[in-house]
Amino acid sequence: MGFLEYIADHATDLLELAWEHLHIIGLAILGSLVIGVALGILVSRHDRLASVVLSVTGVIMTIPSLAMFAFMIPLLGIGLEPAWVALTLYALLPIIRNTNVAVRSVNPAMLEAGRGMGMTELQILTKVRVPLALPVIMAGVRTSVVLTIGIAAIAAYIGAGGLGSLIFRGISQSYANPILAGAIAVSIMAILSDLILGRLENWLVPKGLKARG
Amino acid sequence: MITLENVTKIYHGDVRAVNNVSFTVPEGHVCILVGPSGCGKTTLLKMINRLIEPTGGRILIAGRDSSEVNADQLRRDIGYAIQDIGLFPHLTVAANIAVVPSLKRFPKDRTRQRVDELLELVGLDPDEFRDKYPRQLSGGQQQRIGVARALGADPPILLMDEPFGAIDPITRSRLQDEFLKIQEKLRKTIVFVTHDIDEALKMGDRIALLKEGELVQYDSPQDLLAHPRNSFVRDFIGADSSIKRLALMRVEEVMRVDVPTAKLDHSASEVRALMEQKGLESIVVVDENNVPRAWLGLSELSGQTGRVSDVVSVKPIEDIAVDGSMRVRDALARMLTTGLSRLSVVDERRGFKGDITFAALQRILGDDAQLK
Repeated sequence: MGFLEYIADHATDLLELAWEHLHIIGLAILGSLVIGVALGILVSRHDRLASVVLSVTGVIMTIPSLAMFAFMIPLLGIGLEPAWVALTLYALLPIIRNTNVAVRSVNPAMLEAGRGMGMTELQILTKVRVPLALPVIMAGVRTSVVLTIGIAAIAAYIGAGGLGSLIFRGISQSYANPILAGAIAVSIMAILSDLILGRLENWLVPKGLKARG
Repeated sequence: MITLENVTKIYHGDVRAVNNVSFTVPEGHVCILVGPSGCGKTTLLKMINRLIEPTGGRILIAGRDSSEVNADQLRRDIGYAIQDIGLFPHLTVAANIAVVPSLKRFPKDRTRQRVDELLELVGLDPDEFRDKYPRQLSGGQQQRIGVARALGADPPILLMDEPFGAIDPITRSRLQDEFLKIQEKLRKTIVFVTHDIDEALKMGDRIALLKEGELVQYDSPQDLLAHPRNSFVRDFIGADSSIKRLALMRVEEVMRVDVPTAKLDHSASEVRALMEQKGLESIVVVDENNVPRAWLGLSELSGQTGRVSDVVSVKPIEDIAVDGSMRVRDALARMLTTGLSRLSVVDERRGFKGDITFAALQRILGDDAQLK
């Protein structure tokens, strides 16, 4: 069967699996966003905590995803739960790192101006640091989302479902079409997400911060 | 009013950034902190609004010890403008100016009004600039907004740390002049840091000259120039201190007032008689509004009958007169470039007030030389 014929035949299957894929990553992205930004802000104010958190998440990143999923199995069984935990952990590092750097590297003149005007530390955080850090935080979120979409494909191996299952099915059947279909679908999802998030970033970032336009 | 009593700042055990500095800034005055790099002027400034906490001594603001008030509250009542300006790029010009009013929870329409008032005060059209973003402004415009923002909640005190330092010299001079006009209107108590002695002499009512954390001299610009306390002060002022003194004086302060004038419709022979009687070589000719129109030399009148207006050729006023508020140094420059050794002095309505001669300026410089 030709590739395009295969797609035509399995269209609903593909869409269901794509939806499943989104289901897997959705919770991970939400979780990593909330935890990541919060931790990033926390860590920006405490140097020692920063080095601990950043090294731990750095180590996590270096663990190959399959191994990570395997570690989760004795703790959480197979299926969605271990996938969610592992994906959230992976998604955290770009967000924490970007948030930390962005909040710390706000132009000192603005911080001095804010303090000099009588802003409390909290007000400086919410009115100056975070708004100015938003572009870099969003960049971290985008990286994180694309990463998560890709790693989620591997989660299929431990029974989580999603588009990865097409790829693995194809491998075990030595059949090219599902492999291609799965791989292309994951790629399209990643590209589309990046584009949508790019739009979102544009909408969120305060006008005054955008490059001359 | 700001009083510093034995204010000291020690870092890391023994580095005395500021050592036992005491002086008082009277209300409504501009006090300039000036000195070479590392003299502690910025540290001292920042101790006034407690961005840096003093190690010793105390600072009284309007009679109250500043350490007894909550630091954030204190700063909301002190305007603060810095060299890098620090405008918030994510906020509009209006939102930037409104920062302290909103921290103090002013009602929205009062804030809006205040923003427009301040934009006009610093010479920017509110309709044009209110909704702009900092990145759309030139350096000079940004600094004006910085000053407007510092004045946001109408604080009685303003602290400024080299606010015009990052601006080109032409714009800087204009901003300084405009700032002086604003200060004339508002009469805030201002402490201003600069490393530029000329800026200090131009802007200050009092100058605190610092060296390595110590207060070397605290005086008015005139006294500082006339009576420098030691060689450091003399060197810091520079070799042309006499010319600098001329920059502080206004022409109307040193002009001659009882100067005879000739009117355009006087008769030539009358004027000649007057000049011979008073021993005048030349006389200024004014019209019926007392506005100077020409110079008349005695020789031009010999053998002339008829009126003065027949003899002289009327000149544009810029060529023969200067405004009374002009600085003496600029009048000297005018004399040197036009070759005139005498200039008429006029008021805002161009009416003749007196004159100033090159010889008189030489005398002033000469007096000064003798003081040394």
